[in-house]
Amino acid sequence: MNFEKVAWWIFWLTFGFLLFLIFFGISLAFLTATSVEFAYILGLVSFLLLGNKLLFGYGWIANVLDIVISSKKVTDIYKDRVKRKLQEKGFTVEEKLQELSFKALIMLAFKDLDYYRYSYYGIFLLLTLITIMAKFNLLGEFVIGKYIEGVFWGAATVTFFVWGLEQLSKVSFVEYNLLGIQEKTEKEG
Amino acid sequence: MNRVFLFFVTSLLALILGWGIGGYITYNKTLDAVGKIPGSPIIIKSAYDKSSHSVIFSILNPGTLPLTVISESFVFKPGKETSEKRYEMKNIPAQVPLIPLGITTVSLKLKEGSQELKAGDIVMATIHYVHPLSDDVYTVSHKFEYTGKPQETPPKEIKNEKQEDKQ
Repeated sequence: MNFEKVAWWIFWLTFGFLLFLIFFGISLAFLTATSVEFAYILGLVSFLLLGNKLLFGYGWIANVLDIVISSKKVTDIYKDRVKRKLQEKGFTVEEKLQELSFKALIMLAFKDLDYYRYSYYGIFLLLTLITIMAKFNLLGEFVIGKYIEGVFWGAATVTFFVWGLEQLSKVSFVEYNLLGIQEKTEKEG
Repeated sequence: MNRVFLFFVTSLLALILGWGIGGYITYNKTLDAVGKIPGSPIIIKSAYDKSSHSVIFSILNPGTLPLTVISESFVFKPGKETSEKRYEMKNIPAQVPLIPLGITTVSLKLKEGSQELKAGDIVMATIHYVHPLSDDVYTVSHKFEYTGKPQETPPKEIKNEKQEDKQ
Protein backbone atom coordinates (compact mmCIF):
# COMPACT_ATOMS: atom_id res chain seq x y z
CA MET A 1 0.00 0.00 0.00
CA ASN A 2 2.74 2.38 0.96
CA PHE A 3 4.75 1.43 -2.10
CA GLU A 4 1.72 2.06 -4.27
CA LYS A 5 1.31 5.56 -2.87
CA VAL A 6 4.97 6.37 -3.55
CA ALA A 7 4.64 5.04 -7.09
CA TRP A 8 1.60 7.25 -7.68
CA TRP A 9 3.41 10.29 -6.34
CA ILE A 10 6.36 9.61 -8.63
CA PHE A 11 3.96 9.21 -11.54
CA TRP A 12 2.16 12.50 -10.85
CA LEU A 13 5.42 14.38 -10.40
CA THR A 14 6.76 13.01 -13.69
CA PHE A 15 3.47 13.78 -15.40
CA GLY A 16 3.47 17.33 -14.06
CA PHE A 17 7.04 17.85 -15.19
CA LEU A 18 6.09 16.54 -18.64
CA LEU A 19 3.16 18.97 -18.80
CA PHE A 20 5.46 21.80 -17.79
CA LEU A 21 7.94 20.84 -20.52
CA ILE A 22 5.15 20.70 -23.12
CA PHE A 23 3.87 24.12 -22.01
CA PHE A 24 7.42 25.48 -22.13
CA GLY A 25 8.00 24.05 -25.61
CA ILE A 26 4.72 25.41 -26.98
CA SER A 27 5.42 28.88 -25.55
CA LEU A 28 8.92 28.79 -27.05
CA ALA A 29 7.50 27.72 -30.41
CA PHE A 30 5.04 30.63 -30.31
CA LEU A 31 7.69 33.16 -29.30
CA THR A 32 10.39 32.15 -31.78
CA ALA A 33 8.09 31.36 -34.70
CA THR A 34 8.57 33.20 -37.96
CA SER A 35 5.45 34.42 -39.71
CA VAL A 36 4.95 31.25 -41.77
CA GLU A 37 5.53 29.00 -38.75
CA PHE A 38 3.01 31.08 -36.83
CA ALA A 39 0.48 30.51 -39.61
CA TYR A 40 1.18 26.77 -39.32
CA ILE A 41 0.68 26.78 -35.53
CA LEU A 42 -2.52 28.79 -35.96
CA GLY A 43 -3.95 26.24 -38.37
CA LEU A 44 -2.83 23.37 -36.12
CA VAL A 45 -4.45 24.76 -32.97
CA SER A 46 -7.71 25.84 -34.59
CA PHE A 47 -8.22 22.50 -36.33
CA LEU A 48 -7.31 20.62 -33.14
CA LEU A 49 -10.20 22.48 -31.49
CA LEU A 50 -12.45 21.68 -34.46
CA GLY A 51 -11.53 17.99 -34.61
CA ASN A 52 -11.33 17.45 -30.86
CA LYS A 53 -14.54 15.44 -30.70
CA LEU A 54 -13.51 13.23 -33.61
CA LEU A 55 -10.00 12.59 -32.30
CA PHE A 56 -11.22 11.51 -28.87
CA GLY A 57 -14.33 9.76 -30.18
CA TYR A 58 -12.56 7.55 -32.70
CA GLY A 59 -9.63 7.07 -30.34
CA TRP A 60 -12.02 5.86 -27.64
CA ILE A 61 -13.79 3.42 -29.99
CA ALA A 62 -10.46 2.09 -31.31
CA ASN A 63 -9.26 1.60 -27.75
CA VAL A 64 -12.39 -0.34 -26.66
CA LEU A 65 -12.29 -2.52 -29.78
CA ASP A 66 -8.57 -3.16 -29.27
CA ILE A 67 -9.19 -4.46 -25.74
CA VAL A 68 -12.08 -6.64 -26.92
CA ILE A 69 -10.09 -8.08 -29.81
CA SER A 70 -7.01 -8.84 -27.72
CA SER A 71 -9.01 -10.45 -24.89
CA LYS A 72 -11.21 -12.27 -27.46
CA LYS A 73 -14.41 -11.85 -25.44
CA VAL A 74 -17.09 -9.22 -24.91
CA THR A 75 -17.96 -8.87 -21.26
CA ASP A 76 -20.63 -6.61 -19.80
CA ILE A 77 -17.95 -4.18 -18.64
CA TYR A 78 -17.26 -3.06 -22.17
CA LYS A 79 -20.92 -3.09 -23.14
CA ASP A 80 -21.68 -0.89 -20.14
CA ARG A 81 -18.90 1.47 -21.11
CA VAL A 82 -20.32 1.94 -24.59
CA LYS A 83 -23.83 2.30 -23.21
CA ARG A 84 -22.72 4.97 -20.74
CA LYS A 85 -20.90 6.80 -23.54
CA LEU A 86 -24.02 6.73 -25.73
CA GLN A 87 -26.22 7.92 -22.86
CA GLU A 88 -23.88 10.86 -22.35
CA LYS A 89 -24.38 11.74 -25.98
CA GLY A 90 -28.16 11.84 -25.73
CA PHE A 91 -29.32 8.27 -26.42
CA THR A 92 -31.66 8.34 -23.44
CA VAL A 93 -34.00 5.43 -24.14
CA GLU A 94 -32.30 3.00 -21.80
CA GLU A 95 -34.51 -0.01 -22.51
CA LYS A 96 -33.56 0.07 -26.14
CA LEU A 97 -29.88 0.29 -25.34
CA GLN A 98 -30.19 -2.72 -23.03
CA GLU A 99 -31.58 -4.86 -25.84
CA LEU A 100 -28.85 -4.00 -28.33
CA SER A 101 -25.79 -6.12 -28.95
CA PHE A 102 -22.23 -4.85 -28.62
CA LYS A 103 -21.93 -4.60 -32.40
CA ALA A 104 -25.02 -2.43 -32.65
CA LEU A 105 -23.82 -0.20 -29.81
CA ILE A 106 -20.51 0.39 -31.58
CA MET A 107 -22.38 1.15 -34.80
CA LEU A 108 -24.46 3.73 -32.92
CA ALA A 109 -21.28 5.32 -31.61
CA PHE A 110 -19.92 5.50 -35.18
CA LYS A 111 -23.19 6.98 -36.41
CA ASP A 112 -23.07 9.62 -33.70
CA LEU A 113 -19.63 10.81 -34.83
CA ASP A 114 -20.68 11.02 -38.50
CA TYR A 115 -22.13 14.54 -38.15
CA TYR A 116 -18.87 15.88 -36.74
CA ARG A 117 -16.92 13.96 -39.39
CA TYR A 118 -18.86 15.49 -42.27
CA SER A 119 -18.58 19.04 -40.95
CA TYR A 120 -14.86 18.61 -40.20
CA TYR A 121 -14.00 17.25 -43.64
CA GLY A 122 -16.26 19.87 -45.24
CA ILE A 123 -14.41 22.73 -43.57
CA PHE A 124 -11.06 21.15 -44.45
CA LEU A 125 -12.15 20.80 -48.08
CA LEU A 126 -13.17 24.47 -48.10
CA LEU A 127 -9.76 25.46 -46.73
CA THR A 128 -8.05 23.30 -49.36
CA LEU A 129 -10.02 25.01 -52.12
CA ILE A 130 -9.15 28.47 -50.79
CA THR A 131 -5.48 27.46 -50.55
CA ILE A 132 -5.39 26.18 -54.12
CA MET A 133 -7.14 29.33 -55.35
CA ALA A 134 -4.67 31.51 -53.47
CA LYS A 135 -1.71 29.55 -54.84
CA PHE A 136 -2.94 30.10 -58.39
CA ASN A 137 -3.41 33.82 -57.61
CA LEU A 138 -7.16 33.67 -58.12
CA LEU A 139 -7.76 35.65 -54.93
CA GLY A 140 -5.45 38.46 -55.99
CA GLU A 141 -2.71 38.98 -53.47
CA PHE A 142 0.26 36.66 -53.36
CA VAL A 143 0.91 37.59 -49.74
CA ILE A 144 -2.34 35.93 -48.61
CA GLY A 145 -1.47 32.67 -50.35
CA LYS A 146 1.78 32.39 -48.44
CA TYR A 147 0.06 32.39 -45.05
CA ILE A 148 -3.07 30.49 -46.11
CA GLU A 149 -0.74 27.66 -47.13
CA GLY A 150 0.72 27.58 -43.61
CA VAL A 151 -2.77 27.34 -42.11
CA PHE A 152 -3.55 24.58 -44.60
CA TRP A 153 -0.49 22.53 -43.57
CA GLY A 154 -1.40 22.91 -39.90
CA ALA A 155 -4.94 21.74 -40.67
CA ALA A 156 -3.57 18.86 -42.76
CA THR A 157 -1.51 17.65 -39.79
CA VAL A 158 -4.64 17.42 -37.62
CA THR A 159 -6.66 15.92 -40.47
CA PHE A 160 -4.03 13.22 -40.84
CA PHE A 161 -4.56 12.15 -37.23
CA VAL A 162 -8.36 12.38 -37.49
CA TRP A 163 -8.34 10.27 -40.65
CA GLY A 164 -5.87 7.77 -39.16
CA LEU A 165 -7.89 7.24 -35.99
CA GLU A 166 -11.11 6.95 -37.98
CA GLN A 167 -9.60 4.31 -40.24
CA LEU A 168 -8.06 2.49 -37.27
CA SER A 169 -11.37 2.27 -35.42
CA LYS A 170 -13.21 1.12 -38.55
CA VAL A 171 -10.55 -1.44 -39.38
CA SER A 172 -10.75 -2.70 -35.79
CA PHE A 173 -14.53 -2.98 -36.11
CA VAL A 174 -14.16 -5.02 -39.30
CA GLU A 175 -11.61 -7.21 -37.58
CA TYR A 176 -13.95 -7.69 -34.61
CA ASN A 177 -16.74 -8.77 -36.96
CA LEU A 178 -14.48 -11.21 -38.79
CA LEU A 179 -13.34 -12.82 -35.52
CA GLY A 180 -16.94 -13.63 -34.60
CA ILE A 181 -16.47 -13.12 -30.88
CA GLN A 182 -19.32 -14.41 -28.74
CA GLU A 183 -20.92 -12.11 -26.22
CA LYS A 184 -21.04 -13.32 -22.66
CA THR A 185 -24.04 -12.34 -20.63
CA GLU A 186 -22.67 -12.91 -17.13
CA LYS A 187 -20.67 -10.16 -15.49
CA GLU A 188 -16.98 -10.69 -14.89
CA GLY A 189 -15.22 -8.67 -12.30
CA MET B 1 -7.96 -3.11 -45.48
CA ASN B 2 -6.46 -4.59 -42.37
CA ARG B 3 -4.32 -3.03 -39.67
CA VAL B 4 -0.97 -3.82 -41.30
CA PHE B 5 -2.00 -2.24 -44.59
CA LEU B 6 -3.36 0.77 -42.69
CA PHE B 7 -0.03 1.09 -40.92
CA PHE B 8 1.87 1.31 -44.22
CA VAL B 9 -0.61 3.74 -45.79
CA THR B 10 -0.44 5.95 -42.70
CA SER B 11 3.37 5.92 -42.70
CA LEU B 12 3.44 6.93 -46.36
CA LEU B 13 0.97 9.76 -45.75
CA ALA B 14 3.00 10.92 -42.73
CA LEU B 15 6.13 11.06 -44.90
CA ILE B 16 4.35 13.09 -47.59
CA LEU B 17 2.88 15.41 -44.95
CA GLY B 18 6.24 16.00 -43.28
CA TRP B 19 7.82 16.60 -46.66
CA GLY B 20 5.16 19.19 -47.49
CA ILE B 21 5.37 21.03 -44.17
CA GLY B 22 9.18 21.03 -44.13
CA GLY B 23 9.30 22.13 -47.75
CA TYR B 24 6.84 24.94 -47.13
CA ILE B 25 8.70 26.32 -44.11
CA THR B 26 12.15 25.91 -45.69
CA TYR B 27 11.01 27.51 -48.97
CA ASN B 28 9.62 30.58 -47.26
CA LYS B 29 12.63 30.96 -44.96
CA THR B 30 14.99 30.71 -47.95
CA LEU B 31 12.88 33.21 -49.87
CA ASP B 32 13.12 35.65 -46.96
CA ALA B 33 16.88 35.16 -46.69
CA VAL B 34 17.49 35.55 -50.43
CA GLY B 35 15.22 38.58 -50.53
CA LYS B 36 17.56 40.39 -48.17
CA ILE B 37 20.58 40.01 -50.47
CA PRO B 38 21.06 43.14 -52.57
CA GLY B 39 21.62 42.55 -56.26
CA SER B 40 24.34 44.25 -58.26
CA PRO B 41 22.94 46.47 -61.00
CA ILE B 42 23.74 45.52 -64.59
CA ILE B 43 23.87 48.13 -67.34
CA ILE B 44 22.20 46.37 -70.22
CA LYS B 45 22.00 49.28 -72.68
CA SER B 46 23.72 52.60 -73.09
CA ALA B 47 23.07 55.22 -75.74
CA TYR B 48 23.98 58.82 -76.59
CA ASP B 49 21.10 61.14 -77.35
CA LYS B 50 22.34 63.96 -79.56
CA SER B 51 19.34 66.25 -79.25
CA SER B 52 19.35 66.44 -75.47
CA HIS B 53 23.13 66.03 -75.27
CA SER B 54 22.93 63.29 -72.69
CA VAL B 55 23.91 59.68 -72.21
CA ILE B 56 21.11 57.26 -71.36
CA PHE B 57 21.65 54.05 -69.43
CA SER B 58 19.21 51.21 -68.93
CA ILE B 59 20.06 49.60 -65.61
CA LEU B 60 18.72 46.24 -64.52
CA ASN B 61 18.36 45.58 -60.80
CA PRO B 62 18.38 41.76 -60.52
CA GLY B 63 17.76 41.68 -56.76
CA THR B 64 14.60 42.13 -54.72
CA LEU B 65 15.96 45.05 -52.68
CA PRO B 66 15.48 48.57 -54.03
CA LEU B 67 18.79 50.31 -54.84
CA THR B 68 19.34 54.05 -55.10
CA VAL B 69 21.82 55.73 -57.41
CA ILE B 70 23.30 58.60 -55.41
CA SER B 71 25.78 59.99 -57.96
CA GLU B 72 27.34 59.35 -61.31
CA SER B 73 30.74 60.19 -62.64
CA PHE B 74 31.71 60.30 -66.21
CA VAL B 75 35.17 59.93 -67.78
CA PHE B 76 35.67 60.81 -71.39
CA LYS B 77 38.55 59.53 -73.51
CA PRO B 78 38.83 61.35 -76.85
CA GLY B 79 38.88 59.41 -80.08
CA LYS B 80 40.46 60.41 -83.40
CA GLU B 81 37.70 62.65 -84.73
CA THR B 82 37.06 64.82 -81.73
CA SER B 83 38.89 68.06 -81.09
CA GLU B 84 38.48 68.00 -77.33
CA LYS B 85 41.64 66.80 -75.64
CA ARG B 86 40.18 65.54 -72.44
CA TYR B 87 37.27 66.27 -70.29
CA GLU B 88 35.86 64.86 -67.11
CA MET B 89 32.73 65.30 -65.11
CA LYS B 90 32.66 64.18 -61.59
CA ASN B 91 29.97 63.24 -59.11
CA ILE B 92 26.79 64.47 -60.64
CA PRO B 93 24.39 64.11 -57.74
CA ALA B 94 21.28 62.08 -58.42
CA GLN B 95 18.57 60.32 -56.48
CA VAL B 96 17.37 57.65 -58.83
CA PRO B 97 15.69 54.60 -57.27
CA LEU B 98 16.29 51.38 -59.18
CA ILE B 99 13.14 49.29 -58.99
CA PRO B 100 13.58 45.65 -57.82
CA LEU B 101 13.61 43.03 -60.57
CA GLY B 102 13.16 45.65 -63.26
CA ILE B 103 14.89 47.97 -65.70
CA THR B 104 15.28 51.66 -64.89
CA THR B 105 16.39 54.24 -67.42
CA VAL B 106 18.87 56.80 -66.10
CA SER B 107 19.81 59.77 -68.24
CA LEU B 108 23.05 61.64 -67.65
CA LYS B 109 23.08 65.18 -68.98
CA LEU B 110 26.49 66.31 -70.17
CA LYS B 111 27.97 69.67 -69.28
CA GLU B 112 26.49 72.50 -71.31
CA GLY B 113 28.80 73.99 -73.87
CA SER B 114 30.89 70.88 -74.17
CA GLN B 115 31.23 69.25 -77.54
CA GLU B 116 28.97 66.44 -78.56
CA LEU B 117 30.32 62.93 -78.83
CA LYS B 118 32.02 61.84 -82.02
CA ALA B 119 32.64 58.35 -83.32
CA GLY B 120 35.51 56.65 -81.60
CA ASP B 121 35.05 58.38 -78.29
CA ILE B 122 35.24 56.09 -75.33
CA VAL B 123 32.96 56.84 -72.44
CA MET B 124 33.56 55.42 -69.01
CA ALA B 125 30.64 55.92 -66.67
CA THR B 126 30.73 55.08 -62.99
CA ILE B 127 27.53 54.79 -61.02
CA HIS B 128 27.54 55.02 -57.24
CA TYR B 129 24.67 53.32 -55.51
CA VAL B 130 23.56 52.43 -52.00
CA HIS B 131 21.15 49.85 -50.61
CA PRO B 132 19.07 50.07 -47.44
CA LEU B 133 20.99 47.44 -45.46
CA SER B 134 24.27 49.33 -45.01
CA ASP B 135 25.87 52.76 -45.29
CA ASP B 136 28.49 51.63 -47.81
CA VAL B 137 28.63 53.07 -51.29
CA TYR B 138 29.06 50.62 -54.17
CA THR B 139 30.13 51.44 -57.67
CA VAL B 140 29.54 50.03 -61.12
CA SER B 141 31.86 51.11 -63.93
CA HIS B 142 30.69 50.84 -67.48
CA LYS B 143 32.69 51.51 -70.63
CA PHE B 144 31.36 51.87 -74.12
CA GLU B 145 32.70 53.16 -77.38
CA TYR B 146 30.52 55.57 -79.30
CA THR B 147 30.30 54.59 -82.95
CA GLY B 148 28.41 57.58 -84.30
CA LYS B 149 24.87 56.31 -84.60
CA PRO B 150 22.22 58.29 -82.77
CA GLN B 151 20.74 55.35 -80.86
CA GLU B 152 23.21 52.75 -80.05
CA THR B 153 23.05 49.39 -78.42
CA PRO B 154 26.43 48.24 -77.25
CA PRO B 155 27.72 44.85 -78.27
CA LYS B 156 26.91 41.90 -76.09
CA GLU B 157 30.28 41.71 -74.42
CA ILE B 158 29.37 44.48 -72.01
CA LYS B 159 32.17 45.18 -69.64
CA ASN B 160 30.65 45.38 -66.27
CA GLU B 161 32.98 45.17 -63.38
CA LYS B 162 31.77 45.55 -59.88
CA GLN B 163 33.96 47.07 -57.24
CA GLU B 164 32.99 47.26 -53.65
CA ASP B 165 34.55 50.38 -52.19
CA LYS B 166 34.25 51.54 -48.68
CA GLN B 167 34.31 55.27 -48.78
